[in-house]
Amino acid sequence: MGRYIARRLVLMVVAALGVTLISFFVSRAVPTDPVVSNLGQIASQRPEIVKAFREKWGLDRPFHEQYLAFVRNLARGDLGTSINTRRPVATDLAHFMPATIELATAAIVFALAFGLPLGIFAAIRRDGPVDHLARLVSLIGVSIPIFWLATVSLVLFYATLQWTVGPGRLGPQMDAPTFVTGFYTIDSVLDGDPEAFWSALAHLVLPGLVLASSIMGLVTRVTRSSMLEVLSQDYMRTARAKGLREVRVVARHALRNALIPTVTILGLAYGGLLSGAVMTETIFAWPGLGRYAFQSVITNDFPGIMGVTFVIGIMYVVVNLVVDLLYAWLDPRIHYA
Amino acid sequence: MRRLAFVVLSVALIGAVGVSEGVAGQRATGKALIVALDQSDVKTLDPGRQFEYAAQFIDLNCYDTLLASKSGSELTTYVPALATEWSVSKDGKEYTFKLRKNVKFASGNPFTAEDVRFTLMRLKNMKGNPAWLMDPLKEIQVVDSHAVKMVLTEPFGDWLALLTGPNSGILDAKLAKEHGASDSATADKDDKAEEWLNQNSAGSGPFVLKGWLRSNAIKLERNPNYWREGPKVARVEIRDVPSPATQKLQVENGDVDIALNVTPDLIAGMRGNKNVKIITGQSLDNMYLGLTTSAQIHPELAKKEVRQAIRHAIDYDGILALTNKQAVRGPVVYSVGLLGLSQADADRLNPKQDLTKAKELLAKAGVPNGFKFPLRYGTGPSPVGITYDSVVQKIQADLKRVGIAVELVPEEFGVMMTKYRAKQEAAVVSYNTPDFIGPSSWVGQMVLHTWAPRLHYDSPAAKELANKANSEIDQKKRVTLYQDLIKLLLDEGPYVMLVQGKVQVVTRANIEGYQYFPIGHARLLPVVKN
Amino acid sequence: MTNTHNLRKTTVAEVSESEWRRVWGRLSRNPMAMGGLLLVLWWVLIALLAPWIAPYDPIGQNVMNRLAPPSPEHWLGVDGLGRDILSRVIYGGRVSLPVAAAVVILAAIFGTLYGGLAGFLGEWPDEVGMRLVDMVLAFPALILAMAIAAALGPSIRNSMLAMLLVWWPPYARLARGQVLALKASDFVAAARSLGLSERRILLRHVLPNAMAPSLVLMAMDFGNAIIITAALSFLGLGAVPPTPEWGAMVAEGRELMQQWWISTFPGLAILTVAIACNFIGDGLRDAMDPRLRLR
Repeated sequence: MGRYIARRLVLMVVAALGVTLISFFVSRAVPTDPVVSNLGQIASQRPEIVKAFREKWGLDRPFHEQYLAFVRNLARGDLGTSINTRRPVATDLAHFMPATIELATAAIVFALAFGLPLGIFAAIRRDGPVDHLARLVSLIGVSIPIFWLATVSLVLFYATLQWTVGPGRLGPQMDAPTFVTGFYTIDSVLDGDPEAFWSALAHLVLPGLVLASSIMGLVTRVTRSSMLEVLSQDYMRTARAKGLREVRVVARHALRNALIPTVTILGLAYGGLLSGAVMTETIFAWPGLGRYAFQSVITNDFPGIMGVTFVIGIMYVVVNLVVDLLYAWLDPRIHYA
Repeated sequence: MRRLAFVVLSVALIGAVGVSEGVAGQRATGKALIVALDQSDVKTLDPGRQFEYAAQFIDLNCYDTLLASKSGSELTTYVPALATEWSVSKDGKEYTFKLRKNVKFASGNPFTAEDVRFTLMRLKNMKGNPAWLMDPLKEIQVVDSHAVKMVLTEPFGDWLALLTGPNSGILDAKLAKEHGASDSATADKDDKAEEWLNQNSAGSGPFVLKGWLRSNAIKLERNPNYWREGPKVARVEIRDVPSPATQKLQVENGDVDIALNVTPDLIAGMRGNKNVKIITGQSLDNMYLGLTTSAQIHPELAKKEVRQAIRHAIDYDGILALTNKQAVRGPVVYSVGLLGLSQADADRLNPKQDLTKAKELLAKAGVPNGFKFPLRYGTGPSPVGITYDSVVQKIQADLKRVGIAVELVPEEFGVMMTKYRAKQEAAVVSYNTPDFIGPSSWVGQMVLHTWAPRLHYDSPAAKELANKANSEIDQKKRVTLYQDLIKLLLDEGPYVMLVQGKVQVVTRANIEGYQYFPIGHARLLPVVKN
Repeated sequence: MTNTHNLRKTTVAEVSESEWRRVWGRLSRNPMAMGGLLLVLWWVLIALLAPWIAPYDPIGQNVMNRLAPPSPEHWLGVDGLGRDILSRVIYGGRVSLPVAAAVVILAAIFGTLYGGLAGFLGEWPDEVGMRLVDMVLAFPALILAMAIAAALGPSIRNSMLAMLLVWWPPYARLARGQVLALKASDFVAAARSLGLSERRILLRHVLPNAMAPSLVLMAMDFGNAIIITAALSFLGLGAVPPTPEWGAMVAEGRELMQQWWISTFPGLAILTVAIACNFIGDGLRDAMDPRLRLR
């Protein structure tokens, strides 16, 4: 098992490097001159100002040199300095990543909390009203455009009904907790600040639910179908024949195996959440990775783009690895060499 | 076990919703002033390097300048700030300032002439984004501890205007140097103070910068050593909220006290709401249509009659309707409210929509059946409150009526700018915001540099008028010169003026003293939260 | 010799045909799937008949009447430039539907061929091929699409290109999995023992059977493609104004909360098409599920 993990880790680095190669070509193609997004109209006409700017950011060197410099620094653990924010990309990521991960985790938790039980009951009482409801809910969930749902839910639940708090990570009067992990929920506990903790939690509810809507449908459907498959297996009949109460039967034997496809789907969904929350983050004023990535792309912040795509690529691969390991844990029949 | 987990999760979820309801009940009642502002363009808060809207706001409130504009509507009347009196030499090249005594910076360090010298030389030598503001400056002499003399390379009518901008906010030289600031000739390499200045201010203004969490919030606190009567609010928190609709919701709910980016359409929906106040100010930001004058790029547009025709074909009232009538318009890209262009002047000089005349002009130019041209513009919001998108679609519809087919070419804004600067465009819709509040800023861009070369507009007559007006010290003479220039531009120039936005700021009803200022949003000194 | 040859062909072909007919039979008995099919056909019909059924010109502006709410003259209200939303929603289908269809079909074709070939050839072409698939999958799709659109300029064609580049990998994976399973099956062994060439086996026997799950994916992907097309336009990277496109219309209404009709109706259009597609896909999956056959 250890060798397997080691091999996967190596492949992971290779894959992430491949991703940066793709980003390299992509950022090469974007015709925005960083000078345009950083210097004003008149400043960009003054040669000494432009020259000073180019030298500061190494833009005066040929492109392949910039890429090699990036890779060399990467080996040393340095992701470069973002032209947009003027500070190390690593610092940017350290601040924005936890925000997105926190949101993604909230979304997954909600998706599981609703989708898992729904899928299970739908499978147990197959073709009953719960089953049809589950099917309807899940199909609608994956069909809703997130940007639309985010806008509508904000207006409805925040403005009109006043059921939830507003956008942002914390209440308007609060200070961010001392930065330890970047997760406001954890950091506020470490700070001993219960008000911040509850506020951070409350602010995760609406955007988390919005993001969860799309994957909840998947979770329900996948759980249901794999539960159905498992319920019809021989060992299930044996368990029932042995006379155990049905609920115990479900919990102990079926769920474990049924969770395998669910875990896969969640793994893929996590990756999608991590990289694509651009619209949700903008509408909810959430200072996360999606927004940072979007800004980097449209202003051609080369270090920013490379840093973000590299890190997202790695996260994706890590999640895949975790998913595969979970597979092995859930199904003892699976072995990795 | 699984069922237990499910139960726990449901309880947590319900608990969270319940908590959020409870938390939602606590509105902004504390003593801090909460402002909602879109900070996505901010790169730095260092007054020697910043040149973005939100950063101007911070520096305007944390640093003082030598002199200041009297108010948002009397921009070219100056009142003393850190300087008590000033005089200009006859040849217009030497300015002498007497500085205010007994002023302390927020750090406690005394304010002296050396701070002025250091600040301006640093601004110039760091060769950052705003460094060109100090171009006219040849040298600064410290006459004594409370007097400086500035020598310019040549007379410049807007030198005082330049000194009122937030970039000219005076730094506490001693404190800044402790943190790596430098004013040396190679300051672009030697100065290391940017990161510190992003988190702290070294000024004498009514507020002190206490921290900047990117994409999150900027915090200010009252300056205890302020040399005038201090601000009424003890703390200001400026939250980054990029979505105008969210800002509207927040200010309606009382989660923020002041919302700075709410668009005209959203504001229209807020009229009648007793909990908010809508404060209108005249901004100097413009949106204009630029047409090339180069026959190689577009032979039809190069003809001045064609450009005049286009000026007469556009439905200006319709465009103003897009802003819910919250805008004004000058004849060219010279803002109403500047020297020489009052609203009455603008009404007099503005071209009016006249389709018959437009068709006549087109016939005179030899294209009675119209022609086509591509119009490039940036996607996304503009500084005048409406998107470029809506305006260009209106222009397309208007010009169709006189037979001109406009092909819309939207691009990501940065991309559009790059191409515009490359001087290859037939037509663009772009924006202008003041670099400093002096007429030479607009005139310079229209005639001498910036837009003129991009549209290949090279007119010796216009240039002569512009230079003369810019270096003229006598303000009355300047007025006449600028008005002549405007008339010339209406005849042969490449600009079609579209919108000069009014800015509307929404505050809670219990906020008083907020006054809009065209650069830097507003001074928060007089603001009171009841 | 000829007789046996014909027999071969008939046997294989017949199996597929009757299989498809059975699938259709099951599908047509599924009310949600049929409902979905009708809904999609309805939208297609509307898009085709747009010039005859839309009450107003979709790009006709009437600035003086901007932002008017739904009324008897304008059933779905009017947008920021005074254009009738009902007409724009009707015409919007003419952009979104063909684009989504094109992306899904092209991605499916390319992906299936790629994955099928990789699986069939096995060994190192398979390894290398699948690593490439992993790499593309690891790339944040939306960011790639944004970058491409930013680079090439917003247009429907460029957003299609961007989507194609990230859409094909799941089909490749799926096809490869199917092919691997089939390779080891009796069915292919039988064909081989009859002496058919490798290429023939691949093209006429393996690939068509590998496509079955792809079809389910395509049906559901169509809904997804509509959403992503809309998302790209929402970000300003897709349709060029004044062309009506549902995502761009939602974007216009994003900052106009009072005028809820501007975002709501195009959003509902996207929603209904996507739901319909997912119903179809779901029904298709059930119809093709061998286990259900026994019930």
